[in-house]
Amino acid sequence: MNHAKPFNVIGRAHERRDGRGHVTGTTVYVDDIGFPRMCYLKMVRNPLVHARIRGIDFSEAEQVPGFVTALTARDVPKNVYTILCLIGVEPDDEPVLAEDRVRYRGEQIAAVVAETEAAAAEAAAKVRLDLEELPHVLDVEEALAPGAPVVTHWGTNHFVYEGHHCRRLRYGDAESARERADHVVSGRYQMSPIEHAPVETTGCVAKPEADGRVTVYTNTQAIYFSLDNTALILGLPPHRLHFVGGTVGGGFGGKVDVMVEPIAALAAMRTGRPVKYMYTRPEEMRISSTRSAARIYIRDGVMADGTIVSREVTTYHDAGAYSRHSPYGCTKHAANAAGPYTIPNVSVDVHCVYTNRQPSSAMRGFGVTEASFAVEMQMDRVARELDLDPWELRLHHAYRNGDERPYRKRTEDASLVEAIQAAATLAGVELAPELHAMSSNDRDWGAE
Amino acid sequence: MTARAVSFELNGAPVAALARPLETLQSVLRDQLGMTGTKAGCRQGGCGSCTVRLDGEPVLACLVPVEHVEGHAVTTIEGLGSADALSPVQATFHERFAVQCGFCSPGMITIATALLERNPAPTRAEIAEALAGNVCRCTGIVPIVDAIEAAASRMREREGAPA
Amino acid sequence: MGVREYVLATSAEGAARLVGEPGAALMGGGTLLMPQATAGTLGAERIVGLQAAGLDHVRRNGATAIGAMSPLATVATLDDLPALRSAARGVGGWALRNTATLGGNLHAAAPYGDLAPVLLALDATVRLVGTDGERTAALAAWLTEEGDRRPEVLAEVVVPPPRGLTAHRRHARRAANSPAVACAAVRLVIEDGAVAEARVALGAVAPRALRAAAAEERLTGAPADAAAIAEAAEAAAAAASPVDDPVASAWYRRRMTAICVRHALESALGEEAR
Repeated sequence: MNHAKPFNVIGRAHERRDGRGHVTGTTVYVDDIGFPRMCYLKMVRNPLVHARIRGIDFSEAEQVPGFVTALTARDVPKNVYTILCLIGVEPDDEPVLAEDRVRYRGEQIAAVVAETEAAAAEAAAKVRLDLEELPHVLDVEEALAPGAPVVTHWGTNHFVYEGHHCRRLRYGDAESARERADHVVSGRYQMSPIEHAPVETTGCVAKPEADGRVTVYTNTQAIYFSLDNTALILGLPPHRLHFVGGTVGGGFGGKVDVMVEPIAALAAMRTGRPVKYMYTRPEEMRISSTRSAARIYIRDGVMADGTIVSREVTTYHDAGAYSRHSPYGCTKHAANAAGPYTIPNVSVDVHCVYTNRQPSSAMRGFGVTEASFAVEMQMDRVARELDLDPWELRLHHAYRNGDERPYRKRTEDASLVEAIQAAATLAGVELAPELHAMSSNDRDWGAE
Repeated sequence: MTARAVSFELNGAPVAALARPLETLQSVLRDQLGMTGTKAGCRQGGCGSCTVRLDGEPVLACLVPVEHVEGHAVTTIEGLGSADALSPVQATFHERFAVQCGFCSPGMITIATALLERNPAPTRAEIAEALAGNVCRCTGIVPIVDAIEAAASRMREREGAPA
Repeated sequence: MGVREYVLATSAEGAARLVGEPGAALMGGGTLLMPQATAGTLGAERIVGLQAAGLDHVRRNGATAIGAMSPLATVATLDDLPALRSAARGVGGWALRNTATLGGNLHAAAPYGDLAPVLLALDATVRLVGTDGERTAALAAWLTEEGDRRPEVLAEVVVPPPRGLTAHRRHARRAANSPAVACAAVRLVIEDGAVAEARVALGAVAPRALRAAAAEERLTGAPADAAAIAEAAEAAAAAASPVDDPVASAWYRRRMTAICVRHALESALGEEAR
């Protein structure tokens, strides 16, 4: 390409717009914000796992000096939070404040507002909950077994994908190919739920304005999600809300769900005062969403020469008590579950399973990261069990330009082969000449 | 409950605050004295984002009762430099992208500055040990160690010592 | 709820008098109590602080007398007590060690409290100041004292001049700023190729730090060879009574006890090669 003038931006060093603020401590984060007459919201949370709510008694809490008000499910105009409702995906399964049941330890039940943070914490601790404990299930496969305690309100412990009990991908005929294969290699891979643990906890400040609007200062990663969901929950047209954000002290997917803004905005409207609602560190670590604890079974049919001719993946994705981003994550997982490898027969079943654990949601490549972990462990297992070189196994199967992926798209702009070769160099591994000579273009485009 | 007045020196200037019993230095700095550069990441002494200097020594403001600083000198990130006059450590953090979300940065910069005052030529291992109480969830810590090493070198150059 | 009063005692005896009154509790450096005070869960209305009680000394005359209010940062500089120095350096980070104290660490509940195992291995004693005088007790005895304690303040730890080879090992889930999964401190006096005196002390794997008597017996009177070390390590693991907690499972704590003891013994014996 030919350019008459030099670039102004490309190839030049540039300052981060907010860098000087960060290193001088002058960048404003949500917890740095305060207003006159601001009060504080603390959430009363489920101390059990799965329970029916018989009653909530605020009489002792109301006696705490500085108590302002308390909110329950009845106070929330539309008491549903479902991130995916914005793109028309059902079900509406999560309440903003619990109604008759709580489904995970830490689930929000009532919001207490007080003049000081200490008063709000004391009042929240003095709210008396009358709970009837229900049986709970914490394991994905137990949750799908007959007789398991039912977590959801629609009666099954799985998300229903267009009438099916799991997200399915079928490419070729994996079962037949496996039966014809020389070897079968199976593995079971288990992710732990991983907490984002941002150094800044989730939170917001909601401020009612004289013109009837509400300004919400928030550290959400997804300000449009937050504004739109808050509008739906409060029954307000979106233009009545003014969301101010963009400075996030670590998100990693943990500040994508709309957990604090709706209730803080509601409290601000009810009290006519600014309301601050920040998660404490224990709340951030214990009750905020995590990466899903997925359990992934992979079964490969492999020929004597090391060619993987079939891959069957069955995944149980632990969504926890509510959907949040899990149904979407499972779809991504299904597409990527066979890995970045060209395998002619692929079958994937991804079950989005509900358990009584804290809801899992978005976290850095969610759905795909879990697949990468399991697939790479499986590739090493195939190499180990069949005494193959793990580098050669990967280079042989790595997708090339023109290869059809199991979800029926053609591979373009591939560089996986080259990346593996570069990794070998960095790791001090000498590849055989024929592996060194491989490239992303060494299959004919359009050949099948 | 009795609140009492506490007087101390903050970034070189005398200040006074009204403290509840065992109110933390962190709370007084942020809520009364407008010094929100000192962060509150955990209030348990586990994350280091509230690191300040007490008579030059790094301490966690969330663990220090403000009564303990009566008559002493406290330095926060605000006392280190400004946007148009960055300290060497602030400058290298900014230049070398040792800052992502920025929330850990005031604490990191504060303790790094304390380290370089005591040890102008630290090894990477000594830098890592000095940062052990400061959590960063974004950078993977290596760019921060790089920035501190670069700041040390720059400061030694200014002093006329070999870089 | 919430602390109503914070009083700074000007002496250990004064603190003992104040803490004897109902609703009062003692605070050292505050690194364990302040988070509770901030969260409103402290459970005591009046806190008696030792910051001004003059207990931050280090005096040497053969033995080393360390004031209970000595910051861990100070303990981390005691080069003549390398195992104690190692234990202090393993606690938290630099800023925390400037505030945390020796006395506070001795009162900490498991899995915190890394210094007690080393002090047990060193046969340390503690000076306790009450309202009617003071007494000295072996640390091991103080740790196991049951029943209502009379109001007294642990004012000082006295470490006799160390005899023999010492070492400290700790395992945690992260390299720093992380509570111990298991820690071990050992001291061996070798005479004529055999162990004349052995101390094996454990931390984080029982409600309080303890000496593993069976491990010490296995080592005493015999050469400290690989078999003796392995058996002592297993005996120490059997002496632990760990629980499942968010940091580690009991199973893992017990396994790491054996490994920490083995590494500590090997490290102590490695000193002899110098």
